[in-house]
Amino acid sequence: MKPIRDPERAELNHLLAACPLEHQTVLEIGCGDGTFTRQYVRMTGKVLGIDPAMIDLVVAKKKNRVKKASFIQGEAECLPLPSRVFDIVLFASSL
Amino acid sequence: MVHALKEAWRVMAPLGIMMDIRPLSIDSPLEVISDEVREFAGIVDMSPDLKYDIAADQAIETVIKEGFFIEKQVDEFEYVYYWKTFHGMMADFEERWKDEIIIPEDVINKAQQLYKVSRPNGRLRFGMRMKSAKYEKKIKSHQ
Repeated sequence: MKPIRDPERAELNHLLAACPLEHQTVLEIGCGDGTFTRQYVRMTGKVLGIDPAMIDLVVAKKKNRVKKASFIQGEAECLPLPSRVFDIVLFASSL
Repeated sequence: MVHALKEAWRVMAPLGIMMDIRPLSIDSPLEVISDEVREFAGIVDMSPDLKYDIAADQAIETVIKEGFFIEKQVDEFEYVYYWKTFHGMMADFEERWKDEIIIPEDVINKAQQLYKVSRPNGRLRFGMRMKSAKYEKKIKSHQ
């Protein structure tokens, strides 16, 4: 049986308190299956989730309901991305 | 880890923000709660992952010292898991955290004993400490 995780949304609230997301371009490194991404994606300008595990990315893509989120495979140590693009880089339980 | 942080710095816009949110290996309470009571079963040992905390903290310290980031804010909060059954909790611990946490036998027994007492909306509660840290990208002279 799966647990009920963080029903008070403490993780999201701490993220929002530290760093307003509105109109921001966010990179989530180690997004996994996008569980946390789905909590904040609607508040951002755009989100890119990156993770090395294709099995998790398949779930992230399948459960994603918004156009401004996308997911790609990649390693944090060698990001397949251009320089100086993202307003916010998020490591959520991935550092 | 230092390489990952430097890559994060590279892809960030000038004055961009990096957030590091992660669980801490701080021993955390297991409780049985209901609409009426909240009872303490014991402390769960989170020490097996301490080495990862230390490695992450050291990596952050390195990139700050090397002038990639400025620390803006560090905070802690509680991230809570609830289970509606004792067996569900044990199965979940086994599947999710087998090598990461240690639940002492006496804590398991106490939680089971407390959970057996029938109460409205009875459930098991595990609150782990999380770190939330905010860093600002520092502009290096060659950027």
